[in-house]
Amino acid sequence: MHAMTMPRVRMFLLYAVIAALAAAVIFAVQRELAPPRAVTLGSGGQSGPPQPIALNADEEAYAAALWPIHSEVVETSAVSMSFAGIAYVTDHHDAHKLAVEAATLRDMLAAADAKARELKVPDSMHKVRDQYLEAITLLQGASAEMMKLETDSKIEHLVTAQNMSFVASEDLLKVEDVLWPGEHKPN
Amino acid sequence: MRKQLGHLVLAGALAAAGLTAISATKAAAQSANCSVWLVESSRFMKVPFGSFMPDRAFVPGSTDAKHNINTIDLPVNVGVIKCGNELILADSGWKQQEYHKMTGTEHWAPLPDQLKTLGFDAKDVTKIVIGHGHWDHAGQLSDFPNATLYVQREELKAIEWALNYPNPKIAAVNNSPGGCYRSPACGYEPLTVAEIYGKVLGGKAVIVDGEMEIAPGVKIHPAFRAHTAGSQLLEVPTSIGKLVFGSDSYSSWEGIRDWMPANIQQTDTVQQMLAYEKCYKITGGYQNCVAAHEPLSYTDAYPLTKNSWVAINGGRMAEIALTDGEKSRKPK
Repeated sequence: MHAMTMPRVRMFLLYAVIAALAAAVIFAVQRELAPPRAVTLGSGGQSGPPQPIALNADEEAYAAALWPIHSEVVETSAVSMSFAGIAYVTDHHDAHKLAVEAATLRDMLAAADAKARELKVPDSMHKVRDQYLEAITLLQGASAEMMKLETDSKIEHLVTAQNMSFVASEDLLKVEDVLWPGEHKPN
Repeated sequence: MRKQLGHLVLAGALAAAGLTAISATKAAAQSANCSVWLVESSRFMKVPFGSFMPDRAFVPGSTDAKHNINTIDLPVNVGVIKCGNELILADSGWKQQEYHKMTGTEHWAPLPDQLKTLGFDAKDVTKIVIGHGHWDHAGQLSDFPNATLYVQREELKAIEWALNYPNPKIAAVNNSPGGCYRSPACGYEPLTVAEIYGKVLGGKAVIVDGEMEIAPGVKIHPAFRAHTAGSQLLEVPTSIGKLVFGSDSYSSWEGIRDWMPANIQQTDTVQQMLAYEKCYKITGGYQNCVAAHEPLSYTDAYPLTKNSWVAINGGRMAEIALTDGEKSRKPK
């Protein structure tokens, strides 16, 4: 009995080896024929950060419509507000000049707020829209707070305004992450 | 006999005084040295080499070592500098997770936590010198309540000029949803500028006009337009010679070595070359120039940073120089 099964085992082993060799040859040929990969100098191997979720057509349209309001008014105003305060503390110390700048920013933000509220918002973006409008409201509040300095010269108004501006900037960043995820590049 | 004895005593006293003077001078020189570490705040992944350094653009099929690398990972390097009782940071990275997601970075950890692994506390940081005010170099300031911020007046002036320019395309902080096209206000995000403002309001900011010595031997040098309008360098004395931290004026250490521009933003490449030259003049070469985004950081290929290890979340650190008596903070 044993003498009759041995040749079968040997045949099986022979076929297994041939199959393995054939598989290795096929794999090697495929690799040689594949287009060359570009060299990447880097660590790799780690799972990356979560990928941004693609917007649908309506959401893209909303993002595109809000972009000029954001880039030309709101974002620039947020930075300008901080700079108005920096210039007051480090340079001119003119409370009236600061109040005039803050009033201009407040009015620009009010106009941006009105335009943003007119946009057609897809249902899925209501929360984002609300967060954005909240940020604009905070920035308007910050500018109003800065204007108070002219009445009583208390620097605490600028501190309060800066805190509001900071929170508003964090909200803007969260909205940017959803609507314009490619906005920031290494600097 | 008495006269000869007198001469002998005088000679002995003079010799002792001389030896004392020499020891005091040596001790003073040693105490003027600083200990230095480098911390990888986070890492930008898979950045096209050509967008970082135009002269290293990838050419498919090229065998030239300067053109056969497609993408690179760029660390965001922060200098940790201990000089006596001073703990100084060169740049401060950033922390908001949204930036992390939007720029595809990895290996980020909060800077206070990273300092803790080196045995330092955030409240012990006395000074932060930002090379410039871009969002990836001037964040996390509010996490260091006792630190005084040093920023060039020229930097602030230039940003203010841009914001007030009567052309919205030039004044914009971001020109397009795909990012800013290296325009004058590009990179100065609301949150980062609010952080700088917070330091100013809190009386914890020094607005620098050009050169300034902020600790014995630790000197700020202007590098205007070497990366941004008000960029600055930081010279630090150490036991291995002077180092110069360049933030993004020295984005690439290979760039300094090979005289190639890197990370062009609001950059005048002529001024960047002159900033490179400043490092050569201060340190005697390019080896001790500390780059903010050098891809070879923490490897033998960038020798200054090779004494390195992996820390929180895969971020790397390097011990660069120690003063006499300063213990190593490299994990055993």
